[in-house]
Amino acid sequence: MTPASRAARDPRRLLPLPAHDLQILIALAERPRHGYALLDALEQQTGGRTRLGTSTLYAALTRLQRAEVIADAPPPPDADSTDERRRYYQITAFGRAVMREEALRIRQLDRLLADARVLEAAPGSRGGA
Amino acid sequence: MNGPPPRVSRLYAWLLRRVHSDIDAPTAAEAAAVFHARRRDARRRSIGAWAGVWTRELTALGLGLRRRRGPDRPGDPSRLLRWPGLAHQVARDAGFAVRQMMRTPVFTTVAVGSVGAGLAGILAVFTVANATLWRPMPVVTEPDRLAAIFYEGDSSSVWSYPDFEDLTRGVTSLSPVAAYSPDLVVMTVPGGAPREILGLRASAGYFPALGVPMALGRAFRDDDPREVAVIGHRLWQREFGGRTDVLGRQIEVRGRPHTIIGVAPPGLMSIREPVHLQLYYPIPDEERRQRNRQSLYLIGRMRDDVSIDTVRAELAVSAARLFEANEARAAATSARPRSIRVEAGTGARVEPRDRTAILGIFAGAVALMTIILTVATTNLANMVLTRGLQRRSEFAVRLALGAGRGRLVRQLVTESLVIAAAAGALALFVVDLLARRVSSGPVPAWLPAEIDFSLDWRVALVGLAGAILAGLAIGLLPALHVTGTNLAAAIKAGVPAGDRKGTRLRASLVTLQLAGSLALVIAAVLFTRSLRESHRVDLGFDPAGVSVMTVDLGERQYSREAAARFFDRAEERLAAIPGVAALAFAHAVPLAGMRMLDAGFDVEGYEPPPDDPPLAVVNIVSPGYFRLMRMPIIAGRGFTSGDRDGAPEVVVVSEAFVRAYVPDGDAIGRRVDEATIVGVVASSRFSSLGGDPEPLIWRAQAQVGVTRLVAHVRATGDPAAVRGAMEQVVRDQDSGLLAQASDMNGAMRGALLLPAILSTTFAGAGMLALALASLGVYGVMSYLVGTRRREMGIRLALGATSRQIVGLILREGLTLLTVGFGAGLGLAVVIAFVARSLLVGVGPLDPVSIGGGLLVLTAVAVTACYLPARRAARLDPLSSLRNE
Repeated sequence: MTPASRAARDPRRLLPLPAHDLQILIALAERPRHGYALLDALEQQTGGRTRLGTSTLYAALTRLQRAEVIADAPPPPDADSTDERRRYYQITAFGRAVMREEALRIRQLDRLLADARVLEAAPGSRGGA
Repeated sequence: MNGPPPRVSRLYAWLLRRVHSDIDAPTAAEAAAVFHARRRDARRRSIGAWAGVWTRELTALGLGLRRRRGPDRPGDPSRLLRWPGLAHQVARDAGFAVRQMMRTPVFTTVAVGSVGAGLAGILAVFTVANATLWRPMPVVTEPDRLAAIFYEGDSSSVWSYPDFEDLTRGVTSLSPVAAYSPDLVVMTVPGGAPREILGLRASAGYFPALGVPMALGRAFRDDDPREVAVIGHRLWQREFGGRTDVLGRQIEVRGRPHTIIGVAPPGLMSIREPVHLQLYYPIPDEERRQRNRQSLYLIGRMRDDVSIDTVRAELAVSAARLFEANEARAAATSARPRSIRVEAGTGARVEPRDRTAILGIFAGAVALMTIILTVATTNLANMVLTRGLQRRSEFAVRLALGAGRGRLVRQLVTESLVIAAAAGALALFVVDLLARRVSSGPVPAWLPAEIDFSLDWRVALVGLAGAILAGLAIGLLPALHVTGTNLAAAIKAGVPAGDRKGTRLRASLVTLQLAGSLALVIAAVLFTRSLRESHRVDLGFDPAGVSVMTVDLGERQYSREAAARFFDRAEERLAAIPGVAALAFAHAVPLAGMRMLDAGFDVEGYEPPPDDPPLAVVNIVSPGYFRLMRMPIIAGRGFTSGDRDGAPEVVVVSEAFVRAYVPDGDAIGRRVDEATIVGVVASSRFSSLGGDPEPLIWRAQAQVGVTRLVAHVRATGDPAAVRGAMEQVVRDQDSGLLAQASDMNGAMRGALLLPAILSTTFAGAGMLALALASLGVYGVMSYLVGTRRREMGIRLALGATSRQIVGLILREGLTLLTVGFGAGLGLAVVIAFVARSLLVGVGPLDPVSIGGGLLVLTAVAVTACYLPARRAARLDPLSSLRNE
């Protein structure tokens, strides 16, 4: 995939983000991480409900790297010696833009749902099935 | 990365790139490493977590495969499988098969049971072999990187401590490196009784080489005092309640108090056997100085970035230097130059010669189980064939309508595979249960440690492969036959009549069964006779009513003089026990597994051939031994009290010794090394029940300082009462000694163990095969008679007598049997010759066994033929002509 010049790339063209991508970006926005730590972070984000397969994660990471949403990162100074050999990933500026656009999209969706009172508890008293 | 990645990781990386084609190689490798880490961490938590990780991963890969077909995926779609179509078909067929199985519960039970039994046998044998040879050691870090140093050739690869130090000094490719040896030691925990356990004495590098963290405390170092110990995790839990204050407490090992400085991690096993060790202690100082004492095994960890060849090269240089130096030192046993072998990974755990022996036994046992499995599957194949033939018209129609033959075959084979899969699952479950029982069960006296045969994925894989093969064996041939070409005739005739190819197929299947059954039955009779003969073998001595008790003072650090005084006093006290008719001491008990060999001694007047030095078993006995054991002295005398320290050295030899080394007959007065022969005793057995009795030499106890003696007592009246008193005598003199008296026959039981196991196994296998084969023969004959009802009806109508009909059918049945018997005889002879060394008192071509086997099988097979034959003769000719 040969991207056009960066300025011309529109973050909105990547929306909606596939299933776990947003979660990965959120985790990386906090700080650069390596693969295993990302899996732990994602698990924590969902309170242990979602545990990703390693293949799913790495397929997503490859995809995100191709789209230049994330990039390789140098290992942070406080990493211990065993981590040296692991690859760290970080979010790019473009990636932050994508993340922000996705967040906006979700917020709009949320407002739509609120207006339609989809999550109201009252059974059948308001309209809508 | 630490060293080359393990195989599972490489496979995972490959698979990952097949499923997700845009992941590049370094990323895939990294993903594999992360997956490995997750598996490892999950296994530390629980087996369920570990299974969850695998399931999640496989599901994710599977979903990844499916998603590839989406519109946003350029690049080649995977050709691994044409997923949806095939999967759905197979699932439907399998569902149908399961419903079918549930409709015929008797058939299903017999089928699953018999195939399951055969598979269970194979899996059980494989589990033992796996635990010993291939299963990686748990807890140890990267066991692939461990390497052991062996001698080339047949001898046991043990080293002395000074040689170990010299060999490994300056070696950088293998580090850390350690020397170790398993030991039966007497250990006493505070407040407990002394007991014998399997422990390990090791150098300081042992735990670092294995890369295991201590559960508590630390491992011993070279600068530690020698009286320290590391205890096993289970021991810690059981005897010390798992409390952290165990550090600093003392236990008694070999008569000396040792301070506990650490607890090993849970699940740590011995390198060489699948047992859990409970005690580790440093190599004593005296042993560290003795260059002539060779009893240590060597293990080390290869450095991260080196290959096995680098290690081999470096060690070869070091070994050459060592052997040269030893020759210069004229250090006796170490001087023999040998080439060394270095093996890594699973090759490091078992000595090359032992590995060969184990694999041999394993192959033999698997072959045996395969015979049973074959018999079971051929039975089922016949039944499947019958059922398939009943559905022939259905298949003919489907084929005519355009269904592919492959499709039909696949459906039929799926049904057999479902049965086989159920059998496989049953077999795995049973074997797992048995393995757990053995691991948690009573500990055998000859190996006081907990064996661990737990299953791993290798056993599961073998089970899966076995089930698939069994399923194919059951289903494939019948499926191919049933969907075969002459279906037009089948549609027309309705009932299969004159199905010659099918008959031939059945006949060959039954022949296979008969061959297998005959072989097993003959082997069963042969080994049972061998067992009976072992009981009757003339031992050369009379063990009945003799009690033995081992007293090992070396464990308690007695000096020679103190030991001599101890035994003198013990002798007085033992002789004073009421009911003791005879008392003697010996260093070893015949046929109990322990023996001392003497080689290369000098017999006056005997010139040994160059490559065949004299060899004899040596025992050290007190006066009165030969009388107690009822071994007749045929020349000269036994030992007397005059044969003591300072008197001229004397020996007594056996007849077999005289035959081998004093060919001109007159042994009395001849010299053997420094000693003179004063007596000759009738030949007796020492090492085994089979073969010829070997040459034996006895030396006088008073002339050889020993710290380990076995008291032999022959009692009048009840031996059990005397045994209690014997133990008390020892305990009175030293309460820290382990004192256990037992019946001599019990101590010798080990020699009879193998023949007993063999005969029981073959007897059981033979009966199972016989039952299955007779069912098979009966089924085939019934079927054949059924297809010829019309013909029988005609014959009867034309005046044939029932006898003639029976005779006709029997004759045809007998041709079937003859071929099967021929093959079976051949197989039986092969089995007997291969196992020849295990037979006692009977030869491999024993006519009684062969005749007996033939007789049994003939009787059963003829009966199985006769019953349907009689039924045919009773047919009402009119009705059989009328119905088709």
